[in-house]
Amino acid sequence: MKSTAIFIWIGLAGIAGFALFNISFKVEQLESDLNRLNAQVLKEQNAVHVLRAEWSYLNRPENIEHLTRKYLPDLRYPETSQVGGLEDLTDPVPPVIAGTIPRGTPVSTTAGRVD
Amino acid sequence: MLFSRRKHLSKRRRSSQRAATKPCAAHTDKRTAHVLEVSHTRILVTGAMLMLAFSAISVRLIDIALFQDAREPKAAHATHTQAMRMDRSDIVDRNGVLLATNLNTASLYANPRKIIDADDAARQLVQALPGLREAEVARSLKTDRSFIWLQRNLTPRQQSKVNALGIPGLYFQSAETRVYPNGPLAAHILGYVDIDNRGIAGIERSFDVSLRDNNTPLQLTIDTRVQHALQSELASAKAEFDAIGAAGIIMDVSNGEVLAMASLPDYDPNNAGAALPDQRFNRTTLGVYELGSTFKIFTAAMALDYGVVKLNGGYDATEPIRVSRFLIRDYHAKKRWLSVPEIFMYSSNIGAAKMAQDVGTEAQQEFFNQLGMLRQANIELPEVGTPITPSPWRPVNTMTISYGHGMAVSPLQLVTGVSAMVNGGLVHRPTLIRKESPEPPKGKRVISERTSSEVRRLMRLVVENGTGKNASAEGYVVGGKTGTADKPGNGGYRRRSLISSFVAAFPMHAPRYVVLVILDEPQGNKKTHGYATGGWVAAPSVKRLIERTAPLLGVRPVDETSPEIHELLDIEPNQEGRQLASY
Repeated sequence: MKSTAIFIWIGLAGIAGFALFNISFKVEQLESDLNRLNAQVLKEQNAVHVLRAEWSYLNRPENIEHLTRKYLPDLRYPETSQVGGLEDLTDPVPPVIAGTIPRGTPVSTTAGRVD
Repeated sequence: MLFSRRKHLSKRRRSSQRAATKPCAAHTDKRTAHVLEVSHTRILVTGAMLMLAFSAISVRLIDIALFQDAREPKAAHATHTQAMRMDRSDIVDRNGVLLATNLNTASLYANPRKIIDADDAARQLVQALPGLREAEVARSLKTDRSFIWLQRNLTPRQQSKVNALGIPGLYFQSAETRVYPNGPLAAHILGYVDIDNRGIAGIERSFDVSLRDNNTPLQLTIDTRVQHALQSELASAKAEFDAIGAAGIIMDVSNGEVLAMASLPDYDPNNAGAALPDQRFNRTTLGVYELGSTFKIFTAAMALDYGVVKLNGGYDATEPIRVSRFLIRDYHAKKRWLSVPEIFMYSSNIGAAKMAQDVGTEAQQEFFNQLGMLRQANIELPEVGTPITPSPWRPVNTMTISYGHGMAVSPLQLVTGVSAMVNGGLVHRPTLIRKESPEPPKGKRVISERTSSEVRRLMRLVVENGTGKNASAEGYVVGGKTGTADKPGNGGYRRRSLISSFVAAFPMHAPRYVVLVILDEPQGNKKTHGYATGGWVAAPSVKRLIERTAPLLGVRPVDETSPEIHELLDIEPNQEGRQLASY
């Protein structure tokens, strides 16, 4: 009777010990994973930061103007008569998704016409 | 205890030997009991000690496994993601476009003591980094020091080239570099930093501490697109008229926000060290100039506001005025009586001088004081010039200042003042820092709503019929005033070296923006029939600038002949009963 109780206690202590250490090691493992991920996040943030700077560099107005002159030589500044608001449109704005207008339907726009 | 027991035992033994006559069995039993007792005690003691040791180990184990982390905040550290932190926060424009940022770059240094063959290393290095000079590198690699900078801020490509050389004794150090992706755009506003990333000019300097402490971007009132339009228009005007410099400002009249501000020649803040002093000089805030006839806006406004003359009143401008050694005469002389609108339209110096004479010296001083033109402009830049005002302020000064001579202010102060003249009479502090406040700033009243409306009519008249016709951007109801001033030099004024300017506001029936373009020493050309005055050289730039930027700023073109605008900007007939405005 007495020895059974002792065995049970020893068993319980063993199980508790095992569980304790198991959890402890798992937490340690997760922590190192988390640290690795955090480092990764920082690295990505840094990469995004560099890309943002590069985006700004490539989009500098001077560069866009230069590219426009090179590839769209016919593009000119809009005339005052070409500037208008949405309410100036006599027809509703044509749908953006292609294929919803039957081919050949005349689409009239009063704004943004380029000669 | 054990020892005393043994003593006790030996006593017993002796007594048992003495009692040898007693039965032997009983004797043996007693002995066994004794031995058992002793061993029992020994086991108990040893067990207790072992138990103690093991429980100490268990307690320590539990402590390490469970409670160790609670004492050291390792877990707390790891669980939250750290945001990236740079040494210096970004500067962005009003739309969030990046104007200045910090990037990590590698800098190359060497430990000459570990270099095996300095000449060979130098030869290879120069191939990878063409900016270096071989002899210099070789010399520095032969020194007996342990640290020498070779080149700062390498591009990733250069870094990989140097790495590929595989020379021992070369090392990289990663450091942050300030980068201005837009190059010279808004250079004078942004300023620049030194090699240790400390701001030494512009916003970088005035916000140096908060840029270093704070990790949130600093938002300016500048609009990159408008700034570019301003800079490119100024550059083309400067080139066309062969001017030595140019400056321009676009300001929101309702709150004093500067949308664009440029000074030419400019520089690239990424390489500010290579810029000449003239390039670094900010003509818009640090330079103070006698701005000429644009000051007639203030003269007319103060005369109308103090009530010394009515809009339909006027002055005789037949004869030039001689005051001490000065001769005040008209550039576009009409040699007759001129009404106030005519004085403004034909830019009559004689008329303006007489108007100012009526206002009086003290009132004029007080007026400019209210506009903040007698002290440094209050803007978030360290480069601010102090206005030059006459001392003592004699009546003759009052007369010359009425048409913009004898008092020098910065272009920014002119724009601030003109904004107050057209926006209903409230002067706002000019600002470069965007503030997200729900209510617009209050401003300080300098002239009445009524006077402001009259000034708007006068400015519109100049563009419709006067010296500023070249600024008329159709549909945007531009109004403005030309200014052409002789530059002072050699104790007098130099003919042919002019400061030509045009200050405009649009749309004039409900002004939203003030635009200023100034050219420093422009030369007339065939297109301008040799003229280098503000109406010929600066006004066309203002026109193009408004046409380019108004759609960006959300100003819709209107029908300039519509009755509503007609009513707001029509001017009273003069005493001769002639309608001056054409509509």
